[in-house]
Amino acid sequence: MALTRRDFIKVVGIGAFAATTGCTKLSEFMDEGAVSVPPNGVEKWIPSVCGQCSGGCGIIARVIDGRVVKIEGNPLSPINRGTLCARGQAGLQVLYDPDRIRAPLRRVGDRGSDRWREIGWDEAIGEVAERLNGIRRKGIPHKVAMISGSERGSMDLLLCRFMEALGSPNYFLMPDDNDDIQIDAISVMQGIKGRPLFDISRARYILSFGSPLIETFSSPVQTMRMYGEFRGGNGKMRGRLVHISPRLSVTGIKADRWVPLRPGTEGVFALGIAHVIIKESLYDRDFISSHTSGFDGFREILLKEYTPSYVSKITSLAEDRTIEIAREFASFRPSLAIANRCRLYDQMAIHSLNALIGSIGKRGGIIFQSAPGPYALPLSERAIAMTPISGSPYTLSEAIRNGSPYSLEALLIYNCNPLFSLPDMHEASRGIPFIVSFSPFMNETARTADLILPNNTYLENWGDVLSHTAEGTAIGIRQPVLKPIYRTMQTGDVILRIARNMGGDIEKSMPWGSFKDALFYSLRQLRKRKGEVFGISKGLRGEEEFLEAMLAGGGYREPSDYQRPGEFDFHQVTSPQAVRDYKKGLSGGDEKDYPLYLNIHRLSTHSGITDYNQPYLKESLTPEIPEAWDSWVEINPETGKRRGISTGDMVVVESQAGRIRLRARLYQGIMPDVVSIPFGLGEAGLGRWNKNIGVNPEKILVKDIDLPSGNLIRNSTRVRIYRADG
Amino acid sequence: MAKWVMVIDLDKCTACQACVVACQVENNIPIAGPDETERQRIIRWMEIIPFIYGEYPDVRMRLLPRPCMQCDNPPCTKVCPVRATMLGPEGIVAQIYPRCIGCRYCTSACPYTVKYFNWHTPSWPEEMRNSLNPDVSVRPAGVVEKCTFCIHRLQKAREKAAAEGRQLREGDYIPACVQTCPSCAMYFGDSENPKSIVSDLIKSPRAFRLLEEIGTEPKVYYLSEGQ
Amino acid sequence: MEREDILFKPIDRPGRKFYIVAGIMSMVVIWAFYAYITELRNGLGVTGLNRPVFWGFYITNFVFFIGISHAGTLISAVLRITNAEWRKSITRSAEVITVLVLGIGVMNILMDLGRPDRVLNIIKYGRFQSPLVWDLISITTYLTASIIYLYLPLIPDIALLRDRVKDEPRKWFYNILSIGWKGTEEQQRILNGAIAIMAILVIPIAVSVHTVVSYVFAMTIQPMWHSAIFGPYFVVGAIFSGIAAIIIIMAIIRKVYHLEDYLRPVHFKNLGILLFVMACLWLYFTLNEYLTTFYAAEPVQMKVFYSKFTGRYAHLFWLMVITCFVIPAILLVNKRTRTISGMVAASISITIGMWLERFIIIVPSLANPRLPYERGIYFPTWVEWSLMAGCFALFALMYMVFTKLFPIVSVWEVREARETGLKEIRERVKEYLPGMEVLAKNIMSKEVIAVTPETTVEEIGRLLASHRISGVPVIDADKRVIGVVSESDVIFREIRHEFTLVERLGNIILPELRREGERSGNTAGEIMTSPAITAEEETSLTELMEIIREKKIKRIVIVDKVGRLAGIVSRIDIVKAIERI
Repeated sequence: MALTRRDFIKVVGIGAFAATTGCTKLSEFMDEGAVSVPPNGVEKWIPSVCGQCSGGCGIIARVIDGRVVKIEGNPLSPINRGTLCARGQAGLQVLYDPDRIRAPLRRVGDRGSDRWREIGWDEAIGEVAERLNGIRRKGIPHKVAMISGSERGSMDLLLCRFMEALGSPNYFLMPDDNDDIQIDAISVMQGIKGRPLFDISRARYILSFGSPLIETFSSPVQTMRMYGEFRGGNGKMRGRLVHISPRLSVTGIKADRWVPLRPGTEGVFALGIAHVIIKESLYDRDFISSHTSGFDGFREILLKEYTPSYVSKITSLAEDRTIEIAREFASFRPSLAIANRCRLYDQMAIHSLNALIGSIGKRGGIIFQSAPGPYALPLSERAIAMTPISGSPYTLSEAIRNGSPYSLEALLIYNCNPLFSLPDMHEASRGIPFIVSFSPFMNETARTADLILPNNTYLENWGDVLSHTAEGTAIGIRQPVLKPIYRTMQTGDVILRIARNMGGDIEKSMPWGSFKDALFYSLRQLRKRKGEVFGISKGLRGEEEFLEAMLAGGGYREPSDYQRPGEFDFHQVTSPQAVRDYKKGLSGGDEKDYPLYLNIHRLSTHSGITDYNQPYLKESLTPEIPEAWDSWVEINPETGKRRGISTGDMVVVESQAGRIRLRARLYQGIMPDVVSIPFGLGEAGLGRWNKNIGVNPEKILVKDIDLPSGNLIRNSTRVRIYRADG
Repeated sequence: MAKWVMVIDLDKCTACQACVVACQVENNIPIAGPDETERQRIIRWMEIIPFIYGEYPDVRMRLLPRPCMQCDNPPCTKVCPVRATMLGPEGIVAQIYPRCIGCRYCTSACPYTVKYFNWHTPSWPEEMRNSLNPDVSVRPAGVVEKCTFCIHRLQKAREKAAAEGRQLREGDYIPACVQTCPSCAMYFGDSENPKSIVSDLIKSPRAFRLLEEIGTEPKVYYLSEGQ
Repeated sequence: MEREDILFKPIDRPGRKFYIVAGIMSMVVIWAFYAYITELRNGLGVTGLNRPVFWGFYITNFVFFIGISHAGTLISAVLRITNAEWRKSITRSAEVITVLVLGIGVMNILMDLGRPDRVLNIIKYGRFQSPLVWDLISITTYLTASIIYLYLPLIPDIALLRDRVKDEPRKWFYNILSIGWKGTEEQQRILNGAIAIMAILVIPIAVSVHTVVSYVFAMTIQPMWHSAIFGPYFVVGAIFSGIAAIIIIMAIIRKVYHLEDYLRPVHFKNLGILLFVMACLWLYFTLNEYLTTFYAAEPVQMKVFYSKFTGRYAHLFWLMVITCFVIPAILLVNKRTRTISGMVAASISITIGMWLERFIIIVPSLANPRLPYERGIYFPTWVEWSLMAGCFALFALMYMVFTKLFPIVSVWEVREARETGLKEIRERVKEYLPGMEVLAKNIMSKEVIAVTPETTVEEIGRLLASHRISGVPVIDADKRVIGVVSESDVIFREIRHEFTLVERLGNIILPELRREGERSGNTAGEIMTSPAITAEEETSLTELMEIIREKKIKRIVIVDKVGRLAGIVSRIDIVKAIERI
């Protein structure tokens, strides 16, 4: 058998051909089901406002042939100046969430059975109007309540107006996680209701008492920008940050020093610092004499009681530590003491540090701006006789359950998830005959509703958000970057249509054809004011041109009117009630059976207020702990070792209120007698990325409402922890 | 020839992960899901890695945003058998997806572990396909990918500059992560341009690069915390 | 040739068990194929691989199988070049291993590729700077060389088969493969030359293969990969595991094909010694590798080091040390366990240990990257286990098919050994022993008194007495020496027979040469010691002295090339010769 060269070439040729074809076929086989990117097309950038939190960042959406492919920060917005946080970046996963509610739904099974039927908008709106009218006819309109997510703009005013027109005082704003500061102390001690602005960028020294300063503080992107400046941006001298908390959070990691402090002792520690400042005469005499009262009494009690040795005994921190921090705080001015929204009296003790060194009402300290904002919808003139069912959203569930002072006939829920983030709302909701949800997502709360009238997502909506910066006030204008992609409807429009349907006074007090009309109504009023449209300083003629320019630039801004801070009242800090309360924080629960404190910490990616069926955020929960998707409990390695727990083990965390099962994570950044669980996961929605994922640590909180402020205290629960298999 | 350099000021960085998510959105990174994340298959071209030193209570941590280092002397390109990863003319280490055979040699050779592999055919829920960035291709199963310094943005910036009849200016081209950084801790630019901010910053006494001792010559610089 | 029938038995009648085992192996292979299709369809996500453990079972198997491949061809070539006679019945079974496992090694690379459909890119866009391309080149070269090296000595056997089989298809098959082999002297000369060339060529290629495999790791800067010792370390490990594999496979085919006569304890013993040497070398390299790492104590390296010594991979690491060294050392050093089964046990232990070694080199380095990511955790999935089982099953299956098609012991080489082996060895011994310049023919007395077998004892006694000599050679009609009668034979008519060294060696290889000495009688033929202790004319003085010392005899009969009596060397002749020197 002779093999010629030609044969050889033939064989090689056939082989090569077969190999190539085979590979091509294999490629097709392997790439089956692969996704191709939709084609490029005409590109538009549409400005709007982010809706992932209440921070009010301006955004610009990159829209290609009706598809939104990217969100960037709006460079013209004074809030975020072209930047955006992780949540803002993930906004497309809100819009294109595959598990969104796509049309109005009527529940057909029992509550919680998750059985729904799609209905038309007319039917849905008609039914709500009819039910509300029925209640109104019975003369008990106060038994209609509404819980709204935190909104800083016209939508809030519209809802408020609607409830007033209806005749109910029960319009509740969900506590805003971005308000996690000593806002209660400021309002009590200085009598100021507006939002204080912490001028972080100009401060030289910041003492953070467990504040989520660079996680979820105030308007987060703005705060982070200010933090960048605080750290030497803008050619400024670098500021120093000390973080005091039981857990080493991102703020603690980024701080120059982390001081681990037992939960509940923040107030005492602050008073210890105040003691040193007073004793060493480091305080601002001018400010104290001109802007405060009650200093002498305060001084006397402090010098007597809160000596470094006493503070050291309570906090288990070395005396030197207190003295050192006090001296730094008083000498690196302007400095700032920032609390989280804990017990009122602890907030007050911490806030008194700001007063001692005069960091109130000036640059680098706490600034107060005139409130409310520069424009408003006219409020209705109806007077409401009834008192609200509850003073704080946190006590709402108790009031509903007890039917005292009265029961509820209907509950409307907008832009929040109270069954997740308020204690005991599950049980309370059972006693409410009619629940309407406006949620675009099937979250824990929506699942108990009788009707769901799904809102658009923020990228499909009109709206406005009022925000404050150190330089002034800004109003971001939210406009739809694309038409609603499903049969959803902006809740503002729905409310107006309900009002029209109900007729009578209510229709009359809600005269706008659409929410957009209402919005434009209030925006037009801005023209008379001294501010300017984003990016344009002057030269706009006529109302329409003004509006157009605002839509094109994304908003409107005006310089601040600074408000004189109210007189600071030292009396209250050391009132007998306060002193009792400081001690209360120290004696928590049953130490023998529940030897550990439960700390609940914040994640920058999950506020726990809105819904997170957003996989990019679930993948990157937090940078310091390599966990994703699921919840975990942080345990000091020493504590873990003693209990035979190592990272990855399933453990049970048990309090008097209940128990939860989750994964353990040994972490050097947590005190040995504290365990910490992140807040925001376990929202019990039905989305594919939040269904049966994570646990909500608030389920085992022993309910502790700080009576003076109505705040839910999240760090006083005692727990024990053990391996789930033993 | 430009030399693109990224500078990350750790003192200003808040580890908020905006860069991480911005990168994912910009570059059509597939969603891993809980199970695949658990199996460490998650893709994040930009990632924040925690360094932890010491023990409680004297514990210090450092959070480091970590894109591809775009080494001038990349260990990954050296080992590629098919020229599917190579150092581009302006110093960006490129990946050629249609050529990659998926041997994962480069992923194993990278001392920074910044290269990622597509363990599955990337898929998105139908709805989410709409959000894919048309400037960036979706990678098929079985190939390696990594941070590209958003090189597609460079192309667009070039085209735009050319259309406007001018040279590329500082700030015309910045990656998605740098653009979104809320605390303005990230800088990007041409270090060969003496007027650029980065050319100044990399001379700072605070400047350092990751694993400098192994001679990879990264083009990502960090400015250390503190004064 | 009844003895050789046993070598053809697997080809003629493999038996039912053969088909049952082949069936089972085929099923495993089909299952593995299904697993591979699953992997192709769903991507490598069906494996347990992840970031940073990008490589796992497949690459481990790749290195492991390529390592095993060093057994056959390399060892065969070394033995061939050094003319180790005993190799002849074992080389084929070893060479087959090489060819098969090389193929399987390459398959493992394909399994590991994310885009096997683009494998041709290596040709289209190949970068010669990539160690992976070196691998490819060196492995394909080795594979080609090994196939040729297996095929060349197979040709005469294929010709035997061609002449042996009756049915047409097989005849056709063997006819093509035998490429016209007729066994002429010219053909034989060419074949021997070709084999010799291949034997020399194959050695550097084999060494390069595993060196280059080690370079895949050593050329990176990853902790505990970047090591200059890796080349030789891998080669030693490869030969080590290869020999172990040969022993196991030889023991199996010896048992199932009843080749006890061909694969004899001496083969195992010799391989066992080699195995122990390699075990020591392996330990030496391992010690070098880890001790240097430990002393330099670079943190990055130490992370990997401790993950092996005390961490997540400690159980595998120490199991490796036990299976690679402790168990084999105990079994191989101890005389009582140095049996075939003992050596097979040692070999199995080593095979497992060397697989673990590959795993322990690859995974912990990847799992402990330089930057503080979460440590990688790797658990292989059913797909990887299936494909690994498939590899072993495919190997077994192909090996069986080979034995079904070709004799697993080289028939012609054994035949040749039987015919010329003894002579060759003697020639060789002569080559290196000193004192060869004084030869028997120079010192022997040529006038020799000899007797015929028929000569009576009395006659002999007279001859001895009259010539004052102590013995006489017994010759036949052709003057060929068939025995010796000495004084003691006459006196005791019986003498204990002992073999010379040369005879001993000869007996091991060609057992049928061994014959018992003849016993008492009345004629020379009956009482003579036979065969006579003879030496050829060319025998050196040293050799003669050795024979005399060892045999405690007084004279040696010297014969010419065809065995005819040429002279006799007595002790006094030797004394005189030494005096002359």
